[in-house]
Formats: sequence, C-alpha cells, structure tokens
Amino acid sequence: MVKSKKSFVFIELLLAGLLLLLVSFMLREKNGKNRERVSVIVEDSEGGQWAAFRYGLRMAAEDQGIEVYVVSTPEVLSPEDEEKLMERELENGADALLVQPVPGMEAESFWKKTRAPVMLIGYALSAEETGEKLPVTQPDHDAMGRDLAEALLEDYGEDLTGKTLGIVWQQEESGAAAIRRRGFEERLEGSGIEVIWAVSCQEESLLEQQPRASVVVALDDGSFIMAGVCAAENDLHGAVVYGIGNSARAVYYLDTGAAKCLVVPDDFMMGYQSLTEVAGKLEGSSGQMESSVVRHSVMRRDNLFTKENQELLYTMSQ
Amino acid sequence: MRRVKLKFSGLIRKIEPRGMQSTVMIAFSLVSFFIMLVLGAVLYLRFSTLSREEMIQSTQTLTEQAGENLEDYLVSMRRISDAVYYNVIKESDFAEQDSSVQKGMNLLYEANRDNLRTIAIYNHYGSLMAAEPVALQKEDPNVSRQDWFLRAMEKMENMHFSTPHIQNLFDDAAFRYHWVISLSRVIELTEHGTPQMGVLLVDMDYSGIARVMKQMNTQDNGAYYYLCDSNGEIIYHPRQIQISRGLCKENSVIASRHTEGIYEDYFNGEKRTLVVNYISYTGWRLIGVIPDTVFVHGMINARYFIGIIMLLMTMMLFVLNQVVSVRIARPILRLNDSVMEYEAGEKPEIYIGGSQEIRHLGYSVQKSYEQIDTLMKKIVQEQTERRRSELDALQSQINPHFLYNTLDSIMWMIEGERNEEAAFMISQLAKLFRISLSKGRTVISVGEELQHAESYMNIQKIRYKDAFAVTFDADPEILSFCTVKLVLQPLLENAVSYGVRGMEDCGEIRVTGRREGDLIVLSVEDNGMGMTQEQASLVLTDDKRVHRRGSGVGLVNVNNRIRLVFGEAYGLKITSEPDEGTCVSVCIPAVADTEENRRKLEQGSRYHGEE
Repeated sequence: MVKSKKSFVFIELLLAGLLLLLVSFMLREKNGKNRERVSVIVEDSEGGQWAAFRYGLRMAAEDQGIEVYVVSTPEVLSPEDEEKLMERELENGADALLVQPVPGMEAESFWKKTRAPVMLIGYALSAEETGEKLPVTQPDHDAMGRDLAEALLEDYGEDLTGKTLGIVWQQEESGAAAIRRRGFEERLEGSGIEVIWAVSCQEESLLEQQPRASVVVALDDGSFIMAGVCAAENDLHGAVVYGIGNSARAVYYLDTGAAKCLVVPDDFMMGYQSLTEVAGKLEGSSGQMESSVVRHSVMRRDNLFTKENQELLYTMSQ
Repeated sequence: MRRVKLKFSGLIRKIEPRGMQSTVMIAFSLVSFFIMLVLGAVLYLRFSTLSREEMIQSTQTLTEQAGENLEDYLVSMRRISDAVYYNVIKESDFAEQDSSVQKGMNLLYEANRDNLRTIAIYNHYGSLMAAEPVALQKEDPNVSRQDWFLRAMEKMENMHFSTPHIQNLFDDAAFRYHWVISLSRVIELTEHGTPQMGVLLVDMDYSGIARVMKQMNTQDNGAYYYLCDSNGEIIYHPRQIQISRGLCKENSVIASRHTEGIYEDYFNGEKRTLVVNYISYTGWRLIGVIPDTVFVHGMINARYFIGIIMLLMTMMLFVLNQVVSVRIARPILRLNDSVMEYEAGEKPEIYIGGSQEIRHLGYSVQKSYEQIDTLMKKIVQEQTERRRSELDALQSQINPHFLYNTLDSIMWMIEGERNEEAAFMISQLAKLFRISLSKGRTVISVGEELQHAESYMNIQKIRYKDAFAVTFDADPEILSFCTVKLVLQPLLENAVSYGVRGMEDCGEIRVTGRREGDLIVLSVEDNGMGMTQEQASLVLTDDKRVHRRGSGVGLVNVNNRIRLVFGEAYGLKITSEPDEGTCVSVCIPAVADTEENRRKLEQGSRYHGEE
C-alpha cells in the first residue's frame, strides 16, 4: 500500500514536471526567441554610399531573424571615437559588431578585450595590425584598381604615352584607397602614362586647383562625386574621369557623361554576407568567421541599364 | 527466439504478483493513457487539418483581395492611359495645341501623382513629343530601343505592362533612379494635321505595387507572396535581390504556368502550397507560398497546448484512478486482512463493508467461520465423548477377568476353610474396587493408584501362594500427583503372567515411583524371563497380539489411555533383556492432584494443551 502510494506520488510529480516543462516551452515560444542584435559602425553611416550596404544588412537581418542597428556616425570618424562607439554598443547589448575600420584603430586589441564577434567591413586592417585574426568582408580593392586601369587601357589602347594622370581620393590615409591605387598603378606600369598629381582631397576647390591632367582617377565614392561635379561644371580642364564609387550619385555622373567609367563594388552583398556570417556565429557555429570578398562591376554609360546593373542601382536607391 | 520467450515469460512472472489495488490502478491508468493518446492524436490531426485549411483559406482570401487591389491599380493606370489618349492626344494637334496637350496631361498627372512617375508621348521615331512632369530628357536615351517601346510597336493593338525597371528617360537633379512599371501603347497622334504613329508611355511608380506587396508580406511565419508575369519574370518578391544574386531561388517559371487555384509544389526538396491568383489585363500571377514548415511552425503552440491538456487530463485521471482503485480495493483488502488475522489465530470481526458484492462476501466468510467454529466445537465435544467411552471401554475390560479369578480364589479359600486369607482377600478386593470405581473418575492420585496396585498384588500373591515377592518403593512426594487410574494393574498382571510366574519362589516384582524433573515415572520391574528388544518393541505397537495369559488388557491399552489423557509425549517405556527381566515404566507429567486439574484432565483438556 505504501509502495503504491509512493509510486502514485512519484508519477504525479513526474507528470507535473513534464507539465511545467511544456508550459515553459509554450511561454518561451509565445514570447518569441530573443533576437540577437548586431551593431554596425561605419563612417558617415547615413551617406548615400552605404545605401546598398544598408539594404543588404536589412535583407540579411530579415532572412536570419536578427536585429541590426546601424549606428549614426559623422562623416569623419577618428579611431578613438570608433572604439568608444564599439564599447558603447556592446554595453548597450550588441551581441556582435560590424565595423568599418578607420585607419589607426586597434580593432584586434579591442576584440581580444571584449571577445564579442567582430567582422570588419570594407577594408581589412593590415596583417601587422590584426595578426590576420579579424575576419573581413570587402571588395577586392586591388582587383578594382586593376579593372579601372583595364578600362582606361581599353579606351586609350595599351600605349598611353603622353597622357597625364591625376589621382584623387577623399579619405586621408585610407588603406582601401592605397590598395586600389597600388593595383591601378601596377596595371598601368609600362603604359607610358604619367601621374602628375595624387592628392587626398576633401573639397572640390582643391581638385579644381590641380594641374590639368588627361585623366582623373577617383579612388573612392566621395572623390568620384567631387570629380563628377567638377567635370560636369567643366572645372577639370577637360579631364576624363574614371573612378570607383558606390552611390546612386556616382552613377548619376556616369549616366550624365561627366565620368567615363565607374567600378562599383557590390555593397549589397557586402552587407548581406557580413551579417549572415555574423549571424551564423551568433547561432552557435563553433568555427571562426570566414572572410569573404564581394564582386564588383565595371559600369559604363552603354551598359549602365543592363539587368545586372539595374539591380545594383536598385540596391543603391533603397 | 527461445531466450526471448523465456525472458518474456520471466518478466510476466515477475509482474504477476501484484496487489489488487495496483492491478486495478495499472489497468485503469493504461486504458486512460491509451485513450488520452488516441484522443490527443485525433485532436492534433483534426486541429492540424483545420489549421492548414484555415491558413490556405486566409492566404487565398488575401491573394484575392490583394489581386483586386492590384487590378484596381492597373485599371486606374489604364484609365489614365485611355484618358490621355482619348481626351488629350486625340483631341489635339501637337504642332498647334502643344499647350493644351501639356495642360491635359498635367491635369491627369496631378490627379494621380501618388502612383505615377511620368506620362510621356513619343513619336514613332522615339522623339519626345510631350511629357509630364516636364523634365529634361537625358541625352540620347535611345527610346526606340527600349523594351516598352519595342513591345508597343510590336503589338500595336495591345497595352503592354513591363516588368519593373529603372526609368532611363529624364534627368533627375536629385540623383535618383526611379523604379517603374511602364504601360505603353501605340497611339495615333496628329501633328500639323497629319496623323502619325506614336507611343504613349505611362510610368507607374513601382513603390505603389511594392507597398501593396510589402503589406502582404508583413507576417513572420514563413509564408510569403510574390508577383510575377506570365513568363515567370519576377515583378515583386520579398527576396528579389537575393534571388537575382543567386542567394536563393524561386520556382516562378513553373508557378506562372498555373491558372488560379491551389497547387502542391515541390521545390528545393521542400513541399509547399501555392495559392495562385491571376491578375487581369496583365497576365501577372500573384502567388502566395506556404511552405509546409509554416504549418508545422503554426502547430507548435497547438502541440504544446494539446500536450498540456493531455498531461493535465492524465494527472486528473491518475488521481481519479487512484480514488476508484482504492474505493474498489479497500473493502476487499480489509476483508482480506480480517481473514488473514483469523488465519493467524486471532478472532477478529470479519470486515463487512464496501459494495454489495463485497458485503455479501464478508457475510459469507463470517458465516463460514461461525459454522467452522460450531463444527470444531462439536468435533471436540464428540472426540471427548469418544475418548471417554474408549477409556470406559478399556477400563471395563479389566474387571471381568480379574473378578472371576479372585472370586474363584476366594471360593476355594472358603472351601478350604482358609477364612482369614479369604477375608483378607475380600478386604483387598473391596479396596481394589473402591479405587477402581473412584466415583466414576478416570484420574486419581498416584497414591491411590499405588494403593490399588498393592491391593491387587496382595490378591495375586494369595492366589499364587506367595510364589513371587513384591516390593513397593515410591517417593512420598509423588503420591499427590495425578495419574490415570488402573495403569499399574495391567503391568503387574503382565509381570506376574509373563515374568515371574513359574519361577518357584525366586520371582521378584518391584514397583517404584520417582519424580524425574517434570515427569512422574512409575515402574514395574520383574526378574522374569524377559524378552528380546524386538519383542519389546512390538509390545506397544501390536495390539492385535493374542494374549496367552492374563486379563487380556494389553500394554497397548494402558499406553493409549495414558496418551488419551496426557498426550502423545507420554506413555509406557519398556526395557527388557532375555533371562534378565522386564521393566515397564509409566511416564506421566507431574500434575498436582487437585480437583481442578482432575476435572480438566477428565474433560479431555490434555496436559500439554493446558500449558
């Protein structure tokens, strides 16, 4: 009788335990899974050059079921400010960070300290700085520079003797621009073209003051827009503009004939892939996050509205 | 196979011995659990089917409503196109009434500017004739090679809706590129009085359609809606860019072949339900996709809910089963307990309670026990009576032989004028009979028994003319203990008959009485011829022996009488050696000779039974 009572109590307790378990599962299901939050820190985050990137982030966030928060930042961000923003975001509950490294920032030491997943965006810090440990999602800057040079050679032939070249970039000491320039110059080696100036330029007036060059190459979106504006206003002394850009405005200058060629990185994929990789890590993937390279397109006026380029333009217009 | 069978049967044997309550409880619980399981499964399947039907139904309703909205939207675009064509273009000459054309277009544009991006009229060379809003056309947009222009010119009688594309006609100073759907048709326009072909273009803002579709795609359960044209070219898809980048795929080409309805679709290893709605005028398909995982996801909470209900009901049924099993089993258990107590020798009240059947059983058991008690008492009484009659019969066997022989001796004494001897013999016979009668008692004191033995031997000595010697040696303390009467006389008779008779003055019979612990031992010892051990062992077992001499009352009778009164542990012991003699001992318990003890022994309460 006593044994029977014990069994009865044991089974009832077991059933009650199961019941509680089911109720807790049900409540958890009802309340929904706590969505992981990823903060994105890029320079001038509201700028048009990030439109496709932001759209990629949004799409990846929807697909992966995570929350993404693009931190509002000024046009120029110092390494100290960026590190402060990263710390603030982690304190505010960010589970991972997507960071566009500004030159001089010590992302690796920060990452070591916080141990939060960090993915670099757009540009990898040099191997000395990262110890090759921080994953990065970026376009192939060197290839973009080479493709730009290729487009130039396509237009003028392999022999550019007598042609002069001005190189402009907006971000001071930008690592990405340096790689692009290196790729560009390496491809043009032996072509006979002469680089007569290479400047980091923040204002259009500075660009206008540069000596006349046959070709002006802009290595980033800001400088391409500046060159486009100058060219549209005939302030570039008739120079033909080639460059790298990733905003609808940059495309506009190509479309209106102010520039001849534009190399456009697929920023949608940069946003999508980086966030997907981070989401995988947050889901519990044990491996290291993988670096990835996104493709780029070489746009000219005549292929500007092909299906593929329209899609690129669509992402830039979001 | 055999091992498994053996194992199974072993398990069954292990399970078998269970209490009634446990058996009832387990049986009830198993039945309840099985019913709950079936009920849960049926409930889940029914719920799942209903939920599935409900979801498909709601998707169908939503696609129909959204389809109607899209149709309204497209119809309004067609109306704008018609209005521009019939009310503005047909009524005006472009060379002379340029401003009225512009004004008419402006009115229509302003009235629909939320959904419109551009209204433009081109001649058949692709030159811009008029546009609203007025904007600077891009340098060489190559209109005549644009898809909407080509399609319009290809099938002049139709209106053509394009797939979404970037409008590449006008310069936007705000550096924007607008995503539009173009409605183009061939028109007949008049310039300088000369009719000529042209193309009317109404560019609808894609955001209008995207807005409707986005509203449909707000649910976060995995189901989604997309729009494609009759060739499967996607017009809107919530993952449009991912599809174009190859990050995911859509089965739009197959889906676009379906007419309106609900279809099963297997794509990328996943089963899906497609709800297809046909959009008039365009051939577009609005497709609602419900992956099977949505149904599963939608049923997760239902599963938990059903699980909780099942568990709660199982718990309640378990309690109910316990109560019912206790209620059923308790009266039986209590009845069983009282029967077990009865079997253990106690005299409890047999439990009578519970249901009618158990009460009846209790009554039956109680009645049976009462009857058994009565029968037992009756049997005991009958046995006592039987014993008594046996004793009486055994004792009565003594008298006739002895009396005949004694009276014969007395007669011969009187005839031989040995009157003193005859008188002594008569007095001894009187003593003998006094003790023999003992007021009808069976149990007398050891002293009386010895007195009786002495009287008997006195008579025998006279009969046998002192041919043997008799000595009595009894401890005085044993005289006041109880014994069965007339146990020594047959022993003495045997000692005389088989022991010392014919020994010519050298026969000796010795009667002794001792206390040995809790025993009283009365012995009759002779120095006669004795017997072998084998013969001695037969004396007490073979009561069918023919007595050669003596009264015929065998030692078996004496032994039986002692055992009848005192119990099986007591009786006679015989030791004998051929030519040495025989010693027969009466072993009885040392029971004080009181009235009470006598009465008890007489009534048949054996000595050991009283202890």
